[in-house]
Amino acid sequence: MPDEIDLLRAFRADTPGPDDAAWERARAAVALAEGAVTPEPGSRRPRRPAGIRRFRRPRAARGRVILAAAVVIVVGAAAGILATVLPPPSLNAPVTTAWQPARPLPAGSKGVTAPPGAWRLMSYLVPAGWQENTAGPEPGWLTCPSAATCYVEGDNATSASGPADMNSLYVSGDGAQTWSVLPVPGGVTFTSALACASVTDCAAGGLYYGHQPVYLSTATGGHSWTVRPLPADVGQIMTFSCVTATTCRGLSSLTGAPISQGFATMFAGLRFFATTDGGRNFSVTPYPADAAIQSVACPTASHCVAIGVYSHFNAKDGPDLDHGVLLTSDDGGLTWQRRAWPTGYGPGWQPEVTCTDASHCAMIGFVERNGTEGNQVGYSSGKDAVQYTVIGFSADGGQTWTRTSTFPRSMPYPSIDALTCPTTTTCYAAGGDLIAQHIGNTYNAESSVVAVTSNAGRSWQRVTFAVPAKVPGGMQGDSFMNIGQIDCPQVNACVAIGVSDQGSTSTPIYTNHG
Amino acid sequence: MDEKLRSGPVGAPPDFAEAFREHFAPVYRFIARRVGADLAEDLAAEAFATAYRRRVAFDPARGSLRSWLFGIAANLVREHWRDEQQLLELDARLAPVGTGSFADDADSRVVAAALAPRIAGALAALNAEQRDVLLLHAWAGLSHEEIAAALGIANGTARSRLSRARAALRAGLGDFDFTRWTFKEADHA
Repeated sequence: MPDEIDLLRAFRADTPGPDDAAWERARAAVALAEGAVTPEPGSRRPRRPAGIRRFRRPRAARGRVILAAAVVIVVGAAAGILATVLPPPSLNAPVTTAWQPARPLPAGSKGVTAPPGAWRLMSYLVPAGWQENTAGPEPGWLTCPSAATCYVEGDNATSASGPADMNSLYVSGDGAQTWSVLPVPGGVTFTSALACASVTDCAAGGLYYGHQPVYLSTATGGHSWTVRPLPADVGQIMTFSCVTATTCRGLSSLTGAPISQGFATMFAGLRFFATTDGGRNFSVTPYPADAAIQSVACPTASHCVAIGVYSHFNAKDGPDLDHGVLLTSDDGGLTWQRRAWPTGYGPGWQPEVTCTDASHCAMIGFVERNGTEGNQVGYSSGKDAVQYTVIGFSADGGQTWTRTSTFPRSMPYPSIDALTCPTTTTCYAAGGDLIAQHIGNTYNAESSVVAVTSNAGRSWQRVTFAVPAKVPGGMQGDSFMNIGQIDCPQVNACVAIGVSDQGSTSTPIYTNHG
Repeated sequence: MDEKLRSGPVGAPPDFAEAFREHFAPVYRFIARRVGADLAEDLAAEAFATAYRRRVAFDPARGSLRSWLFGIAANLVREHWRDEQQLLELDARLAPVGTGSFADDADSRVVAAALAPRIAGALAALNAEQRDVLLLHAWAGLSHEEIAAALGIANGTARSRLSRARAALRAGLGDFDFTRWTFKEADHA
C-alpha cells in the first residue's frame, strides 16, 4: 500500500528539467567561479541562541544581482587587500565607554488581549519599524534580573551562512511591555547571555571585532560598559552566572567550535572559569577528559552542578545523547566529583541544568527509543523515533535525581528548549510540541508550549495562551511554533520569547506578568 | 564516479565537467520542485558554482558526490525559504480535485493530484529542517546516511528528523486513510 512518501514523490512530479537557458547559465556561473578564491575555514562564530533560526535572504532581481555582485567583487577585493595589510583591531587594556541614554523604540504591535496575570502573547519585540537596520535585529538571549527589568541581546546578522552577530541590546523596565535600545561597545558581539547580579550589575562574554575574546561588565544597566581582554587560557565565554557584581562562574571554550558536525547546540572543550574581581583575574579549571560539559549552575559561591555528554564518540553518529556526565563541586569549581547519571533519560542535544539554591536543581532530560508511537497528530516510527524531553529534579544539590512526572497529555512530544525555576518547587519549561495549529491561512505542525509545576515536578500543567487570528505583517507563521527562551525572576513574572529566523523583523513575546 | 572531483589534478575542470553533466539536471529539478523554475535557474547555477569553488572540500569518505551536491542545493533553497513557503501556500489554496475513495491500484499520481492542496499545506507546515530531510528523501532519493552527509548531521538525527517530518506530513493529510487508501469522510457519505 502506498504511503505518504509515495504521495510526496508524485507531488509536483511533472516539474520539467532544465532547459537550454538553465544549462547555459550554470555553465557560465561555473566558468566565473574558476577565478574565485576558496575562503579559509576555521573562523570562530558566536553561539547562536536557541531563539534564532537562520536568516533568509530575500530574492533580488537578476539585474540587481549582477550589479551587486560587481560591487561586492570590487569592495571584497579592496577589503581583502586591506585585511592583509591591516589586522583587525585588538584590545591590550580595558576600555570603559561613556554613559549613553537608551533610545526608546516606538510602540509596536500589541499581542492578544488578555487579563493581566494570565498567560498571553504580549507583543512583538522587533515589529516592523523597530529594527536597527533592514535585516534585524531580532531577539536572542533573554535575561530578566527582576520582574520589571528584562534584557534581550539581538542579532544583526545579514547572512544566512554568517555568524550570529549578537551586537544589539534591548531593555524593558515595565515587564516586557515596552522596549528601548541600549548602547553596545563598538566592535563587540556577544557570545553569551547577560549574567546579572542585580538590575544594573550585569556582565557578558563577547568577541572584539570577531576574533578577540573579551569580558564585558556594566554597573549602569547597560548605559556604559567596561570591556576587558580575556586571558588566552579562558577563551571565549559561552555561558555563565553571577552571584554578586564581581563573582561570576561559567563555561568558556578555546575554539567556540561545535562538538561535532551537525550538533550546533553543543560545543567542544568547554572549561570552567571563575572571576571574583569583576573580570580582572580568572581561574580556569578543565573538566575530566572524558566529559564534554555543556551546562553548569552555581547557586552559591561554593556549590556547582555540571552536566554534559561523553567526549569520546563516533564522529559519524555524534555524541551519545542517552548517557550523560554529571559532576558536582563544593569548592567553587576547583575540584569536581563525579556522580551517577540519572536513570531513565539522557542529556539530549541541549543539556541544561538550573539550581535555585545549594540543594534544589532541575535539568532538561531527553528520552528516545525505537518503536512506533501515535497520537492525534499521526505517528513516529523507526529507530529512535520516539523522542521527547522530561525534567529531572534534585533535592540534594545534584547528587541524586528523580525523573519528573510526564507532561500533560496535551503535550505528547515536548521538545523543551528552556527551563527556569523561580522557587525550589515552581519551574517553567518552554519549547515546542507536535501540536498542529492554524494561524490565519497558515497551518503549523508544531505549537509553542509552556508548562509549569508548583510541586517540584510531581505534576505539570500546560499554560494556555492565544495566538493571533492571522500572522502579523512582517512575520511568518512559524514564529509561533517554538519558544526558545524563558526567564521567571518571580512565580508570576515570566517572559518568554518565540523562535524566529535570523533576520526576521519580529518575534513574539509571551508573559504572565501581572 | 563519486571520485570525479578528486581524480587527476584536484578539481581539474574536465572531471568537474563530467560531474556537472551527470548531476545538474536532477539537482535543478529538485530545486525547481521546491521554489519554482524561475528561481531554480539562479539557484542551480549558484549551487554548481559553489561546488566548483569548494571542490577541494569534497571528501568521498564522508558521503557521495550526489549527496554533497544535494546538500549544497538544500542549503541554498533554505535561504529562499520564504519563496518556497509562498509557493506551497499558493498550492494549498487550490481547490481539491476530489475527495472520494481510490482503487487499491490507483496511480499515486492521480491520488497526489487530488491531494495536492493538502500535501502543499502539510509541507508548508513543516519547519525548514523537517522539510529538508523529507524532500531530500522523497525527491532526491537520498538514504538516511546520505541525508546525514548532505546536511552535516548525525545519522540518528537524520533518522529521527525524517520520522517526525513523516508524522507531521501524515497528520497534515488529515482524513486520508492510508490503510484503506480512501478518505475517512467517504465512509459517512
